[in-house]
Amino acid sequence: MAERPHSRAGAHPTGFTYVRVAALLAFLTGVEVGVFYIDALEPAFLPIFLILSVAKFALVVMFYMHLKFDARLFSGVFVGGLMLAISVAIVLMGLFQVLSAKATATEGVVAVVHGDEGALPEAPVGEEPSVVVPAATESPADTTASTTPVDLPTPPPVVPELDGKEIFMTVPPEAGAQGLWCSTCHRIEGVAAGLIGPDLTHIGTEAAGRKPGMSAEDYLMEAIKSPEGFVAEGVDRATAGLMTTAVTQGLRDDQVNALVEFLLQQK
Amino acid sequence: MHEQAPLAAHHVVAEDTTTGLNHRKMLMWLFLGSDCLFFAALISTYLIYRGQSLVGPFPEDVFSIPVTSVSTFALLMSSMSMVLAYSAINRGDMKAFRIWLLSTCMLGATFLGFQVFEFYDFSEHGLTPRTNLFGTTFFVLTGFHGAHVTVGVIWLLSIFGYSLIGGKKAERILTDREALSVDLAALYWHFVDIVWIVIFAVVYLIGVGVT
Repeated sequence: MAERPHSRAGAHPTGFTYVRVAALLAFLTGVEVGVFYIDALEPAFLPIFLILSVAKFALVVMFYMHLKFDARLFSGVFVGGLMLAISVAIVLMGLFQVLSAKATATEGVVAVVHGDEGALPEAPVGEEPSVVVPAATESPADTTASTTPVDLPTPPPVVPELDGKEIFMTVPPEAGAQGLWCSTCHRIEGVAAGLIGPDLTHIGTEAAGRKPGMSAEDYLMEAIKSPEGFVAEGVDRATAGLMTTAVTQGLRDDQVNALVEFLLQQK
Repeated sequence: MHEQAPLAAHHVVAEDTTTGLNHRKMLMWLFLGSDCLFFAALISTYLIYRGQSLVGPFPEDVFSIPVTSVSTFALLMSSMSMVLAYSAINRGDMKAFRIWLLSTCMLGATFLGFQVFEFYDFSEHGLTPRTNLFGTTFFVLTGFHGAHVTVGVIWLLSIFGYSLIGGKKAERILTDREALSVDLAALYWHFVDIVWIVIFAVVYLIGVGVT
């Protein structure tokens, strides 16, 4: 075996140091897991877990990867990559949250505006749509009212006189899992643009034939109240398990009735 | 790359390169720095889609923190045995080197065993990469980490194998200046460990505990 120069070996920690670092790592992991089971600390979970994992990360990098004792350029190369990675992660997460909020709001607006263009005779023309982009509506006088679609509010609660279309387009505050509403997934030509679930443009005609012996009204009622119960065959994007009771359980009976009424009109 | 420069005797520490640092080691650190970006992308994707799944199983339905704590502990301890192996070969203590290196491989394999069990258990609960956004992002993230660990175990086992059978290549690997070949494998191994430290905290503890 050839000889190895031990020039820097002296600068490295001894085996004992490595074991002590390992003990510290094990201890910090134990603290992490222990904290996880203390409910009282739940509000502080995020900072506690972040600090502990950063501490463990730093211990391994400094001692086991001996960056603490090695050339600074190595640290620069690694920490540079790490910082870039953290920045990208933060920017990505920030960007996505903002973008998804915008996309949801804009989608609702576009659909409402389309609905008001006359595709549906029962659309409440005289009544202001709940969310309005002035430039696209029929009343030019309103154009100065609001010009920033970025700050659109989340869909407002349903109005007292129940309107099935409104329920379809907006999420009632007490309903819906994770802020979902019908138009998030379902498309109705000229009304809503969802592309995840089945197209409901002609559901008023189709509903009667979906389940033998069941009226269109009963079928729609069941499909809303217990979506898992039945998956229509031969319907595009009808996927078992995708829409669940969790999505609709917050709807009151009168809201479901209004929705059914609205859907029956989609011939 | 391995021939000793004529002046090496005068430059015991500094390498005969423009930076004075070994190129292979620089390459490894550059790779690890860039791999941070790879995992940051996967972790942030997991976080972006956290709580967005339409159907279960959700993290709280499948995660078992005690089980994952044990596998996390195994991986942490493998880092310790790795650094002790590196320390042993630097002392020229081949016997201790082999013992610690093999321990590292076994602890790494233990971690992988836990991961296989976990994946199987999750699929029994109905969670697959195509079930929901949680399944998709979780399996891609931990799957790529598991692939890194697998590569590390194979790498370390091959060094262990060379140390047993000997020969020219073994001589080259094991008698590098400052055990560089072992050092590089160790750096990779520790990196895999620190990535898991982050995944355990962010995906498991924060993923379930913070609402």
